[in-house]
Amino acid sequence: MAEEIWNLDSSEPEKKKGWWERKTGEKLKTHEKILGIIFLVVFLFVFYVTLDANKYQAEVRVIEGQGRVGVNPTTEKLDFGDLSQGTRSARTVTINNSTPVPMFVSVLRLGSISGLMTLEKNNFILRKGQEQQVEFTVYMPASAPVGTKYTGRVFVFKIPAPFF
Amino acid sequence: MKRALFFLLNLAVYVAIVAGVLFGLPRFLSWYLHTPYPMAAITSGSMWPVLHTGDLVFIEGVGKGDLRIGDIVVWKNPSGFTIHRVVRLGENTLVTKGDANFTEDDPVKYEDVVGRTHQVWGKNARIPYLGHITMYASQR
Repeated sequence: MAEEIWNLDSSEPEKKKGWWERKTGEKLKTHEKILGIIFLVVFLFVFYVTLDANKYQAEVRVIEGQGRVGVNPTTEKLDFGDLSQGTRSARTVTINNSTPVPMFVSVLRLGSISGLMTLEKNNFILRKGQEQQVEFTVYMPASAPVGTKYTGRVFVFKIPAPFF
Repeated sequence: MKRALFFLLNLAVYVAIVAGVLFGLPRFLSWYLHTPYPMAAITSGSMWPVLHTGDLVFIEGVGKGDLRIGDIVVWKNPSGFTIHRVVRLGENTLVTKGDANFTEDDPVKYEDVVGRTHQVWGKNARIPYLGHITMYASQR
């Protein structure tokens, strides 16, 4: 055992190994390094865009009757209130770009409310300093069962688009 | 040389598969579903919540005698095609209505009916979101 240690000590000083090489015993090839960097940049970009997105809760309830609309005046979420079949309600979201880079704005709707919700404008460019209002409208169709509450989430993504 | 030949052979196989899917699938579906219009994209919310905007549905050819109240049928009209549910069957015409609509459509002649939605295990066969591609392509 002692001899083995002595042999190790007498050998050439080892080159500094990276984390990957220490774990796998193999060196990363150039194309693997490039792929790794591209993957990391894409991941960080997606992470930033997702983190920077405005997120809103959305909900609407179906009530009995004709032409009845009950609006909840909250600004914290996209609450379309209580709607009877055949009625509609609209809420507006203001999107601004305070950065010097043009932004590509894309709105994603998820959840059961997304099938009822329409957007006045989606997938557009917002130049620096610009402000844009986007209207969300919910129409309650005849096939919506009374008493049902439809919920969902709305994501407003702002993706840097310097070449637009 | 051998590697180049192998690459070309692989490429030819992939091209054949893609061409087969692109050109062969619609023909196969037409033959299997007995209709010249085997697929349709849902462009409005009139059949919500059964069918959603952007769904791609499969249509099967159907004779007058096989139609039932409650079937979802596709019929031709001057502005294109409509996919609504049958609410009444008459001698020469049938009446349809979108589930989400409050009013019935005008009577439709049986010869204008292209087919009804194909069902798998009692449910309408549909592929969500795939219809958006057709809608996008038709807008271009």
